[in-house]
Amino acid sequence: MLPALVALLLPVPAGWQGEDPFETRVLPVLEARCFGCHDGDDAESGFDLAALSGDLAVEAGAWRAVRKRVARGEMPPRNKAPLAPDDRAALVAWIDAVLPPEPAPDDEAAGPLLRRLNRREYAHTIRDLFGVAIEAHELPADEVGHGFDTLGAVLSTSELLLEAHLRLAERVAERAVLLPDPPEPPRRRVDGAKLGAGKASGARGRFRALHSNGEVTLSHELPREGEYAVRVRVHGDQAGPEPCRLALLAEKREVARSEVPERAPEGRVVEAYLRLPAGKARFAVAFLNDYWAPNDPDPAQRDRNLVVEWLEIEGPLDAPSPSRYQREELDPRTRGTLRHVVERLLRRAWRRPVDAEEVARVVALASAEQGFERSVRVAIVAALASPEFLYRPEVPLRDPRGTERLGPHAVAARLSYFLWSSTPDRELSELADHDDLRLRGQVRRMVADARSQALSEGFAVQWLQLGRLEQATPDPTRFPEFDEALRASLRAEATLLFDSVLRERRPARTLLDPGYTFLDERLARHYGLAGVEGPALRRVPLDPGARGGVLGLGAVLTATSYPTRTSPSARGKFVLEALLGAPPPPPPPGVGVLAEASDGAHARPLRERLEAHRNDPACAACHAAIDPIGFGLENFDATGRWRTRDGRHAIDARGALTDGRAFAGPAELKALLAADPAFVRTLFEQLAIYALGRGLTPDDQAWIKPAIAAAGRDPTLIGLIEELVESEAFRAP
Amino acid sequence: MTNLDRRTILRGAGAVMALPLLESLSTPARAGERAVSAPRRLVFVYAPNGVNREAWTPPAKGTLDALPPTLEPLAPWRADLLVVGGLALHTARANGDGPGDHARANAAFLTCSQPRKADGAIHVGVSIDQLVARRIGDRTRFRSIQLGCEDGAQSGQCDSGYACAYSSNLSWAGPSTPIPKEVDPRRLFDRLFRDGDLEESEEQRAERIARRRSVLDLVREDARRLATRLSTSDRRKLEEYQEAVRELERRLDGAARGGGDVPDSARPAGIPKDRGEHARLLADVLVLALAADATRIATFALANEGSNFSHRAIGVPQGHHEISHHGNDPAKRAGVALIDRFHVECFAHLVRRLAETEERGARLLDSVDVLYGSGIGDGNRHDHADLPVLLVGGGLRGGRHVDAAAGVKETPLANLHVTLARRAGAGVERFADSTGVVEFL
Repeated sequence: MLPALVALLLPVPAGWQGEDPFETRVLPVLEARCFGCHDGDDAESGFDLAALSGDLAVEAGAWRAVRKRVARGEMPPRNKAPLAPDDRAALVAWIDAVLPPEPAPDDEAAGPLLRRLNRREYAHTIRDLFGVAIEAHELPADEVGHGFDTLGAVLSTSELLLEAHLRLAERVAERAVLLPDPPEPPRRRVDGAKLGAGKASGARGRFRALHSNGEVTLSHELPREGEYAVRVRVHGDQAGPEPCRLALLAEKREVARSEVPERAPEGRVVEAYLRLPAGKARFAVAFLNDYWAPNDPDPAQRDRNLVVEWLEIEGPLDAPSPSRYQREELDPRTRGTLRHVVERLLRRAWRRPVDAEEVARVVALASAEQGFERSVRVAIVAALASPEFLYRPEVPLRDPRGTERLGPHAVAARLSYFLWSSTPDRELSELADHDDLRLRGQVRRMVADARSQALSEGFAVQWLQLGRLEQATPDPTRFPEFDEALRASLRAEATLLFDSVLRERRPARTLLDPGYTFLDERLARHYGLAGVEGPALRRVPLDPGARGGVLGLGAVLTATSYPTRTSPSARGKFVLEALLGAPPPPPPPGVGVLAEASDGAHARPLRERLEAHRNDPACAACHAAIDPIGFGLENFDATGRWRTRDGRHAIDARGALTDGRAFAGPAELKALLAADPAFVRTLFEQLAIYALGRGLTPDDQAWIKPAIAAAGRDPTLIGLIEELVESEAFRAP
Repeated sequence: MTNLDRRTILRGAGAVMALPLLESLSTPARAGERAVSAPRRLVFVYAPNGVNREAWTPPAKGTLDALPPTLEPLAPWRADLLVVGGLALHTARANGDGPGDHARANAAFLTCSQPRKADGAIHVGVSIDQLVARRIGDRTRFRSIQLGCEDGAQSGQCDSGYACAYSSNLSWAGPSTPIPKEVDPRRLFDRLFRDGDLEESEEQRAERIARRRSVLDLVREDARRLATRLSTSDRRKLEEYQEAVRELERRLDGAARGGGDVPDSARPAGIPKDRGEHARLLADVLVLALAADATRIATFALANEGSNFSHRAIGVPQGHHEISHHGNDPAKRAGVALIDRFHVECFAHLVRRLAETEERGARLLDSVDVLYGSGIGDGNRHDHADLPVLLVGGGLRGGRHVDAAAGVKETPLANLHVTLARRAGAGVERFADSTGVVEFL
């Protein structure tokens, strides 16, 4: 296609009358600097700039890509001379002038859709409503959008999910409300033949005979910490000078030992009472004194075997302690009628005042049960399975001027799910009742509350893309010291850092270089730091330098590495995405991945191999911007340890940001980022996506910019949160 | 390599759990239906990141003689095996949406629709298994089940701007409603056979079901009332909930039959650390579900698309996705082939179990059409033509390597889906980008 045709078809922007700026200003630049590669069937990266037809409705995306690449200096590529500044400005200005504004995604994607509680929020909410602990992973995993699990558009509901919710609601109700007449403790009796056993045993009808010293075992899930009884009924094939002997074991610990002189059909029950923690427990019956005399003249005296008839676990035998909900809400002296109880329950669970009819319907269902406690249990199940609980309906109110705003209860719920991943507490609910939320003050109160840890666990972990830490599998031959304990410490270090900057009202940029971190002995050793002893994480001051801040977190450094090596590209991409808000475009299809010497003794340093990769023009434009950032972190290996060599190559930690600002090593990189306003803006935008449960559009900049400005010159993290919460967008539907 | 494979297979055999006598579990025939013939079933198994075609493709079309290295684990069922070449997944191509072949391959594999980067939202199409489940699923307690070895991904965008849902869900009830999969074999077992509850008497069970039924009645009414306060798009979101309520009610009503008392001895312990073991346990529960006629339709993802799982148990420490971009490095190509073969071994375990299980004097396998495949052809190049696809079972005439695209450029995968849906008893005319049916079956 001829460039001239492009010129013909592209409209002339307003304000450029008199001359066609495309002809006179833009086309010459394109011809001189772009079409050389981007022209014809063999155009670079398949991007045939000269062939664009000029239909802006179709090709807006392509022109936007041109604008982005040129504005960032990624095009022309580094191996070519850069555009003259005024050529670049002219090209960008022309594209801005002719392009229609970036379209908002279709309606469904744009608005904050009806948001379902994700499983983190569900678990926190149940804890706060009832004082009952459940594990988030008892529910199916939630989908993630824009990196967060709070996006209404992707939190869908399936039969599997609702069924899991229904079942979980039943269990929550049972734990939240104990019955006055506790049922018999559960008892599980398993016939010997069905017990786990090794080779030296065999089924004997329903029983199991142990022919030589060994064990039969049973795994049993204990619902909670408590007292349990373990019982076994046994008899023996008696032979030799002594009777059979057995030991009863719980979790490999001997809890009873006994002689078993009985022969079938007689038997003996051996039992033990013990206190055990919740979770899976392994019980075993061990045969201790096998006897085998094949030459004994009396056939009955040749073989001694232990026969296990059955093994049973009973418990928990001790009464469970009532939940906080039962103590506070169901005290017979103060609880009132079932209707009162249900009204308070629905009010709290549904996060809004409820009307008499809503209460009456649940009461009608609940009162069909026998006994007050059973009725309340059913009411709890009904409240928790309802869409009024599982979703956060945000029904807008129209104020007198005709603008739509959220009601105070919806705003209160937004705030509490933002800061706590949980339901509003009493204070917040009451303020909403009086339409007197005073959000800024509430932010301070709620951040000081322990529940705000949910912001570190929910927001910070996802912002720092630490889901990849959970999935990371460092190669054990190269990183033998990496294990689950270390993974947990790495993660905790990251959340404690965020938590400290938040609660101690530190400037947001301290996230990059706080001058301290949180270590236990294990992690300190991993980092090569002395003087930290014991398993508790504690604050450790750091000298200014490499370690410390999000880029010194082993969690981040591991999450941005491959199993066998670091990835400067992944680290560069992380910095661009999460810290600078300038995500690089994804690689084009069909590109290769870096060659790696299989023996670990690389002929060339990683930097050189990556640079070779960048000689491929398909890769060069982006990787020239991405990799040099990651090079600055090469002193950290694939699990975050400090190193000065990679194999036999010395580390060269010089790098540069996309705009060319050069640095050497992590300390200088951190200083550059901390001084860059893009960091605070990106952090704020990420917080906004998480809090609002939707992606941002270009229109959102209209409130984001002033909100950040209102937080001051060197805004604190909590200050940014306060401005976000005070913004129009936070109250808009 | 031979030693390694043998060891892997043996370990699998040793870990096999005791299968109950499945035949005795089959519920009595419903008038007129089962007396005539065994039900038809349909299972889709997915392996991510394409394959190393060199080790996958049999040397010649026609009769399957020697199997290529990747397919060797299926040798005992060669007579049941149909290796299908020439199928393409056009909607996994960019078609103007830029990079993101992994996300698209997964989301399009059973939907044959074009996934879109809708800025944090999701939009693709109904998947074929769900279309079939709508038509014939009401004959069993579960319309369909979804299982896999990897949970929905929990970090970031999963592939070049596509929502993670695309890379981790094969089954789609609607364009924006992926159906999550069960990854824990024990939870899957409990859901299918124990109603999730441990020791309870018949009486308690009946009470609990009645109570659930009335709770569902109530919340259905809650949803109806809530809908009147919501905007159109929020109402659409709420419909997912209402559909889930209807489906649970259907099951509780006992209108559907099958899958009552599978003994606890078959109950798996949880998620094993070893990936092969994990896949085998899931396959075992799947076979139990089919044999007990608890469901007739299933999807099974051996891993999420783009998975970077490190298969060091089979000597490939690099991440799967990472090594799939092998850049023609011979050692990496060999590693890819090893992973492909490992996935086929997992699949072979499922086939073995289906073949070993009897139903009315025949192999259970003969009533199940099992499709195995990937939405990417060559993982290094991200192409979506000539996909690796296998068909096993269902009484198909196997022992062949066929070219679905004989005489044409390529044949849409949707044509095979339509054919399979019809064989399963769902009268599907067309599906997504289908242009007809396939003739080679």
